[in-house]
Amino acid sequence: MSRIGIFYYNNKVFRAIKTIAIDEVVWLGSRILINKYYLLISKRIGNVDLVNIKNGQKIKSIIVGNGEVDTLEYIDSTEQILAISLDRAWLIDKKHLFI
Amino acid sequence: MEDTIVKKDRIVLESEVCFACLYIEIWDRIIMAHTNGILSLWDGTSMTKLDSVEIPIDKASESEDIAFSNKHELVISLFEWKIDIRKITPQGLSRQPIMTLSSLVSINAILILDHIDCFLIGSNKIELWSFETLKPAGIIDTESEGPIAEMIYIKKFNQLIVTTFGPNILFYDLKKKLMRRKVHFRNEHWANVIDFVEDQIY
Repeated sequence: MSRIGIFYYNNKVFRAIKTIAIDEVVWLGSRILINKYYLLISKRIGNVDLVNIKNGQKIKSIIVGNGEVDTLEYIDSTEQILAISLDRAWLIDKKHLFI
Repeated sequence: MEDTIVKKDRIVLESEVCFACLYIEIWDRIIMAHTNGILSLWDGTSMTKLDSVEIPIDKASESEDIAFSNKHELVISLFEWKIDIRKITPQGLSRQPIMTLSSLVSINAILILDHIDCFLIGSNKIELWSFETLKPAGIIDTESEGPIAEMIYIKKFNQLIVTTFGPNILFYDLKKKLMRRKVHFRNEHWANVIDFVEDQIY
């Protein structure tokens, strides 16, 4: 079990707000923040998860290719997510994440 | 919760194992670093490869990270034991690096600080390097904290925040190179990665 910790920090105060448990994380591959409140995380093994960091809910689990997505990057020009799985790359439309 | 299978929108790589990529928004370009030492440049909209160069790497090492200096138009490629710095334009990558740096210790993190014309290299310590001279310009001693995992810079606080392969998050005054705060996690939780998002409201 791995966790995402959300903290408040204003240069003086560092305060824990919430912890989000993420199942089955062996090794965090990559993560990108989308639309301010959504964290997309890849785990090198298994699905790519979309987590709402405001309420701590995992809202979608996405199968990309055969899994093993290591790297995620957001492409502003096309509003797509580039998900790289070893020798293959996949383009995911951002809007598909929120359907 | 719903599972979604992503359709084969486009497969853009062919037998080039990639472990790090970076999108350059101002140019709409993507840089990818591949395990075999290939650095490639792609168009962000058409996803076509524009250029690639081979960085000689002495021994098998994953591409760990890529960083881009907008001000100096340089790309810094970080492999486990080597750093390669070379010029980049929207059209291509220079054939020769302007600097390479081999290390005896594992290098895990790099951070560009264009506003002070420097970049940081994180290994078992943090080295400050000058873009102007391409020489070390200072050290932040973190050796007692273990190897550096990731570094971020918060401009509004002029503060460097560092995660290690250990249970602590470290906060440094970048100007004085002094630690200002250490946050310790109990139960052996390691915070390896960190982001700072401004104006989040809870």
